[in-house]
Amino acid sequence: MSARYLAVILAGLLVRPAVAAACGGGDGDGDGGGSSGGGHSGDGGSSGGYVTGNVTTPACYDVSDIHGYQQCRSYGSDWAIPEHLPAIALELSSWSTRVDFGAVDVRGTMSHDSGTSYNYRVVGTDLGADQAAAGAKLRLVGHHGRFYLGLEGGLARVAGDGRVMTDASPDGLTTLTTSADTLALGGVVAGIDHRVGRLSIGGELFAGGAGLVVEATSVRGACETSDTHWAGRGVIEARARADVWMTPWLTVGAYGGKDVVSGVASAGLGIGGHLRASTPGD
Amino acid sequence: MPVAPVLVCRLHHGTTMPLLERNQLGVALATFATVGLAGCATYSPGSFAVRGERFTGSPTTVGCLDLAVAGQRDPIARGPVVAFQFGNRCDHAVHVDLGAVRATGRTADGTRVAMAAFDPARALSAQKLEARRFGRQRLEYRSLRADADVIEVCLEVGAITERGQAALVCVAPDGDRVAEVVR
Repeated sequence: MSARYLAVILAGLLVRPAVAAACGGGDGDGDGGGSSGGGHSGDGGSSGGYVTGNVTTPACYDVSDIHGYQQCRSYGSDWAIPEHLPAIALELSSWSTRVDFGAVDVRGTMSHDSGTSYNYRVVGTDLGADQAAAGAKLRLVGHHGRFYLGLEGGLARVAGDGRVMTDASPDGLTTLTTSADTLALGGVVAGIDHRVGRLSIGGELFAGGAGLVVEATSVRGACETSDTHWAGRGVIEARARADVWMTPWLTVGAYGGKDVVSGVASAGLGIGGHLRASTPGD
Repeated sequence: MPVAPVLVCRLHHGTTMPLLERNQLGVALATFATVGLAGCATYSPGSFAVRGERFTGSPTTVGCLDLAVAGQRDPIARGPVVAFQFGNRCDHAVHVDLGAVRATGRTADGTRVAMAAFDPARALSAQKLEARRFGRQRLEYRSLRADADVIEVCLEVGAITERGQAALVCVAPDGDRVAEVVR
């Protein structure tokens, strides 16, 4: 779990410098550069530099902030949107779906120190009926006009205990318990959206894989042994979504989709942070 | 039951750590929001100020831009200097094109002279200003007549951004005094 907290924080740290670049061309606090005072050359500006002892010598120093006299900074570098800065969005959303156990078919061997050893197999019907699952998704999306492309991943917990216990030995002293409680999703997403006022509506296609964590636990007396399996399948999900721009950089929205392979539906609510503001009509 | 076999048997083949905890979504959301909100200082529409510091000079609004223009002198510059300060009052990015601003100077004897921004590298171009962001830029304006003593610079600022209405702003380079704003 701590690894996932770390991943979220790292993602934030990666985004933070990019946000700073968006705000001021990568120049400190993003204030418009130079002096606005009248009658003098202002405080100029510097770029880069090196340190000798306690003295910092800038690699380049502008004697004026008046355009045409600047050597270190290009026109608009203090306030214009950097051309190289992509329109990236980081979106976190809830994820509700149903889990189809039909594709589950895992097998293995359990061994106990008492010498008992047996093979087992878990199929979808062992896990019972389909279950609901709820969790969270995180995705990083790059926008180009009305189009966007990105990576998406999610984790969900399967509702209910989903546990099935069976006798695994003729003497009745060994029980095998199988469960499937975690669903993971990962893949690429591509879509198109259109903004009208504060509302963006669009459609997208997700392609990737979903994996169900299947656990088998064998208990014989006080001896317990467990195996963890990954039951995966392909997902191609078509979705519709709508987002409201709360600020130029923050959206909240909702989506709903259906996997064209399994027919399983999913939906969620999300919040998105954007490095660049969208433009109505895009 | 002997203790040792129990200890051995408790060693699992696989990991059974739960992948989702109750508070995980809240922590992730808080982290994400903090990162997003901490990123930018924004311009408040109509304020003509940034971080409590007011724009200097003549304020006017052109399209999505709140614009202040001030005339200045600078020892390094041969001609009058005009300081532009601008803030984007809209929720989307707009172009700022200082090169599209037409300038006319007035000399002490009342003669009108055409002026152009000093731009030796021809770098003045339309640049995009992000939503609710701000900037400042100082330009020197030179007359084609080397001997012209310009006491007032008039700027047609309507073309500085898209959907801007025509507006003439006149500033005196020898002070921040607003000479005239004509629409």
